[in-house]
Amino acid sequence: MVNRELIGKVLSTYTFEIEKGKIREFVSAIGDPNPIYRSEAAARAAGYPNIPIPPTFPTVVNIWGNNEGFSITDALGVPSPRLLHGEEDYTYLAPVYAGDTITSAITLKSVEEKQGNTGKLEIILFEVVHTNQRGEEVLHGHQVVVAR
Amino acid sequence: MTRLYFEDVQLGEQLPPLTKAPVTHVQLVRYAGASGDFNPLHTDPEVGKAVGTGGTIAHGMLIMGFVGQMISDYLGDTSNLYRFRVRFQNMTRPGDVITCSGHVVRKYEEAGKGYIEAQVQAVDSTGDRKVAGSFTAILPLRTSI
Repeated sequence: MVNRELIGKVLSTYTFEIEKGKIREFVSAIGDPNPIYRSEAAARAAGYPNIPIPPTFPTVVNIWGNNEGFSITDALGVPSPRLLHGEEDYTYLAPVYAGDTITSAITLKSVEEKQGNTGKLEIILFEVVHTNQRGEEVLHGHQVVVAR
Repeated sequence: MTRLYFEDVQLGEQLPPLTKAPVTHVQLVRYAGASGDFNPLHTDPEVGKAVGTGGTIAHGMLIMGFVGQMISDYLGDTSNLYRFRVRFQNMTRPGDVITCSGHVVRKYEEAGKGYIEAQVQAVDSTGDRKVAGSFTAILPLRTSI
């Protein structure tokens, strides 16, 4: 059962440096061979000022940015095997490149109860706002997590 | 990679589909390390058995990453992607072969910018849908060069 007093609150703020090695590790796990994620020269040849992040990289910022000090699971009081990822939604406001430093704030927006096939479910909506080292908002994220 | 221009997109056109190599357990472990999501559902087959998912299941975000790869390849410039969202529908297991596809459902100009919207999905070889979603991209106009 998610603590309803957390609704509307910023659960965590965190700062994460976008390292090119992390970008490479991430696209390598996905199996995306695009050279723009692996070499500055290839990125520049394709018109980017530096190595860009791939579209789903914000998840790295959210999880590794938080990993050592904070766990969503602990904050919600729901064990992680009971959580399922329902939806992920990104709005890209400005490009993010290797070398950027991103500061993020995650807010618990809402918790809805629904009756599922195997019992009561909680539908949990988070919002994340990511800002770069120049104070520009670069990304907005929304995440729906289902607690079984 | 060729950059996609607004004028080059036809309403209703299919994105070039992307079929990935079979998902492997090692890939899930690598994705766990890369993303930081060490939920044992994705890494420890014993936990999967205990909670009723069978062995390990893939991170939904890995499958969204496959779809993101298809979108980046199509756009040719990742910085033109404006919005990308998916719903996670069915579980993916090691051995599944995932194919991503999509088609353009809207094309319009607003305030001198060219927008396209497309629906996207990822299915396995039996047609079981893993994710469904959409993206919006803001494309350069040839006429404004």
